[in-house]
Amino acid sequence: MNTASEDRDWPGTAPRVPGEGDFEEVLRRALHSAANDLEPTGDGLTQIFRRVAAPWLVRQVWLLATDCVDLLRLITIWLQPMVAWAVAVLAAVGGSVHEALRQLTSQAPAAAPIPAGQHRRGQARAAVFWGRSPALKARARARAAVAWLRPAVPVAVAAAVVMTGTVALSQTGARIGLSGDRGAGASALAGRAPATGDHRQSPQSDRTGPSLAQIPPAWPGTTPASGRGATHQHSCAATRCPPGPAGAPPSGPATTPSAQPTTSPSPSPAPSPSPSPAPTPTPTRSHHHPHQPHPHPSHPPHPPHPGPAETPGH
Amino acid sequence: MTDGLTADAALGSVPAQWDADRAVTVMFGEHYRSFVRMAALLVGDVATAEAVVQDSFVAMHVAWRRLRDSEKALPYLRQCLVNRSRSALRHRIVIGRNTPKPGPGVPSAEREAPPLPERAVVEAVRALPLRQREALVLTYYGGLTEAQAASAMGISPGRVKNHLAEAIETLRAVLGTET
Repeated sequence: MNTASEDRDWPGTAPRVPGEGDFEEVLRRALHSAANDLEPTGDGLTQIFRRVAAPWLVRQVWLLATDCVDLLRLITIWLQPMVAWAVAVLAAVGGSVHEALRQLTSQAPAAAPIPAGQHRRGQARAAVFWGRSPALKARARARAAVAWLRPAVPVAVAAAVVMTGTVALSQTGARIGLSGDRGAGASALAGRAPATGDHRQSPQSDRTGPSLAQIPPAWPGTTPASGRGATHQHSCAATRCPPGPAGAPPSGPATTPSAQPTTSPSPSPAPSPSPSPAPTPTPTRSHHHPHQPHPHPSHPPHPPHPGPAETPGH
Repeated sequence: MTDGLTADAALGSVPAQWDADRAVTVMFGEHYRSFVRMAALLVGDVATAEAVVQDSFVAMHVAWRRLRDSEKALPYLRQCLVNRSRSALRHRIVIGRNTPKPGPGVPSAEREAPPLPERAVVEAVRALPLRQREALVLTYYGGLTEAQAASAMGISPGRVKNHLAEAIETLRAVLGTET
C-alpha cells in the first residue's frame, strides 16, 4: 500500500521504493538525523561522580526538599483559581453589604442625634468600617494580595514536619540496620561498611526532579547547558551510594554468599525438667495447610513493581 | 547505526573484577552520547535527557555490586533510561497540566525555533503515546531487537510489536496528512 506519506521527499533519504519498509527507513533516518545533532555537555561524568560521592542522607533530604517545593508549587497553582473566585465572591458580597449598610447609616443619624464627641468617633469608626481611610485601604489591599499565602503556610509547615519526620525515621532505620549488621555478621563483612539502605531502592523513586518541566523543549540547535543547575539538583531516589565504591577492593563472587549472616537460632525444643503441668490440648487449626503461601508454586510472588533496581538484567 | 546502543559485545572485555567507578567510566565513554540522544528523543530536550542518563549511570554505579558484568549492565542502563524518561515525562505532564498557558502574544521557544527538516517526524513521534514512542525510539533509533526493547520497557515482545505497529500506523496518518 502506498500512502501519501511515502510520496514525500524526506531530506537525506534515498529515492524511495514503494513498500512497507520504505516508510520505516524514512522514519529511521529522520530520527537519526534529528538526534545526531544533539550534543551533550562534557561534564556528565563529573556530575555522575559528584552525585555518587554525595552522602545518601544528603541526597535523600535534597530529593525530599525538591519534591516538597514541587508539591508546594502545584498546590499554589491549584489554589490560584479558587483564591481568585473567593476574592470575587467576597468583593461582590462586600459591595452589596456595603450598600445596605450605607443606606442604614444614612437613616440612623436622622433618627437619633449624637453628641459632638461621639459623633466624631462614630465618623472615624465609619471611615474605618467603610475603608475610606487611605491607610486602611492600603492595608486591606495588602491583605488581599497575600491572602493566597494563608493556605500555603500550613502546607509548608506540614511539608517541613513530614520532611523532618522522614529524616529522623531514615536515621533511625540506618542506625537499626547498622547495629543489626554489626551484631549479625561483623566478622563475615570483614571491615566492610554495612550496606544499609538497600531496601529503599524502590522503582517508584524514579523521579527525576521538579525542575524538568521548567526546561523548555529544546530540539536540535538549542544549547542544553541552560538550567543544568536546577536540573541536576535532584538525584535519583532509587540510588544509594555504596559505602566505599572507589576505594573498596573488588570482592569476588565467591565472597558474597558467605557474607550473609546466619543469626537465626533454631528454636529446638529441649526437654526441660521443669515441673510444668500436663499439656493441655489447645485447639489449633494450623494443621490443615500449615505452609502454603502460594497456591501456584510455578509462579513465585512478584514484587509490586519490578523496576530496574530489582531486575537489572534479563 | 547508532553507536553504543546495540554494541553489547563492545563491552565484553570489561572484567568482572572492575570496581564501579571504572565500569561507569568505561560505559560512560561508550554509551553516554547515544543514551543522551535516545533520551532526548524520548523526553524532548537535552537537559532533561542528560539528567535522566546521569541518573541511570548513578543507579548503575550503585547496583554494580549486583551487576558485575557489562552484559547485565547495559540492559540495566537501558531499563533505567526508559523508566526515568517515563517518570520525567509524567512529571512534566502533571506540571504542564496545571501551569497556566501563555497568552497568544507570548513567543515560545517552540515557535521561535527554525523549522528543521526532521522536525515533522520528531514532532509526530513526540505526539505518540508514551509506550509507542518508547518502542519506536528503542527499535528505530536504538536499533534494538524487539526482545531487547521489551526488556528495556518491561513488557513482552508481543506488546512491543503491537506498540510499534500502532505507532507506525499513527505516524503514517499524521505525516501523510501534514503536507
